Amino acid sequence: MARSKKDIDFELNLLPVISLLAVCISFLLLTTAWVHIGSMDVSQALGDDKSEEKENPPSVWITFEDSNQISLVLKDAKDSPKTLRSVTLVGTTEGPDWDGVENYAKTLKEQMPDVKTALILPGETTPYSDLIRAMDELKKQDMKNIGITPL
Amino acid sequence: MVRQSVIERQLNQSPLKAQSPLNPEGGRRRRNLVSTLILTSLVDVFSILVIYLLMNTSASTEQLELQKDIQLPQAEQSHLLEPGLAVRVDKGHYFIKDEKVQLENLNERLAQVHEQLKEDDSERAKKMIIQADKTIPFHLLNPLVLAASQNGFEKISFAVLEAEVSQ
Repeated sequence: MARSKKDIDFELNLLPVISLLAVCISFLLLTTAWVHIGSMDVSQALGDDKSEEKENPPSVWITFEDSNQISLVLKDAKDSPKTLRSVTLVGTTEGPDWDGVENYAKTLKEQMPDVKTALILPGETTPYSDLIRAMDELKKQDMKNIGITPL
Repeated sequence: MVRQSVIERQLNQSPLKAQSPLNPEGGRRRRNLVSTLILTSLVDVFSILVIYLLMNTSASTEQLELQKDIQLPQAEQSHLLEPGLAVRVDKGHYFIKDEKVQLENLNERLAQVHEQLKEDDSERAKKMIIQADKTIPFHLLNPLVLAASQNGFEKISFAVLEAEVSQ
């Protein structure tokens, strides 16, 4: 069968493409941050006079006590279930009972979805990692306003 | 005249073909050595690398210098780092923007820096970014938390490493 004169012999020169990609890779390798640093935000009260007039929203207070014990108390919450009003979680020598904190936060979210405020009261010897873990567990359950009380 | 593509031409001239007992070239032995380099796979690899590096690029504009001795805690629910005043607690010493500050002067120095930031950049003046090792007790962070609320920092951010979401 005779070939048509309209057949096109197409050749793609890949060398410029490879050069371009090599430059892109070099640039990105030099500028990429391999360790991603994020942030956990807490809000601080600045002592506004008007705050005395406002009604306090329902909030959960998390107190770090000695021997890895954590107490969770629900404040300013009307008609709260008895099981959520005050809970004490006993930890082990390895650390606090984080599963208990997670379960409490999940139950709180299910039964009282209006509670979006939490206040963390750390102890003097509370490790920084425990503080962050507590904040993390609360944020997982959509607690938007988290504060920390100084000693 | 038969038109051939580049690849077909190179295959016809390959040394292996010249070695064949059924020599299609009519007995003529050609010693032209042409090496072919298939670039398609190289382009594929480069493209994948570029795509991976582009996806890895962080959208955060704020950069924080990590210290070797400080191991940040990990958190799953972390946000992008936003502009703020970077302070650091390193082995019991306090650093405000890499300037070492004594504990007695911490409040005063933070007030000065806060005033400067308010004049220069109002966004940075509202936030304090605390960088500390995960094992330190809270009483070392307490002066910073206190000073932040006393000097008008509305938000405190704790620098953390992003952890993978557990299922």
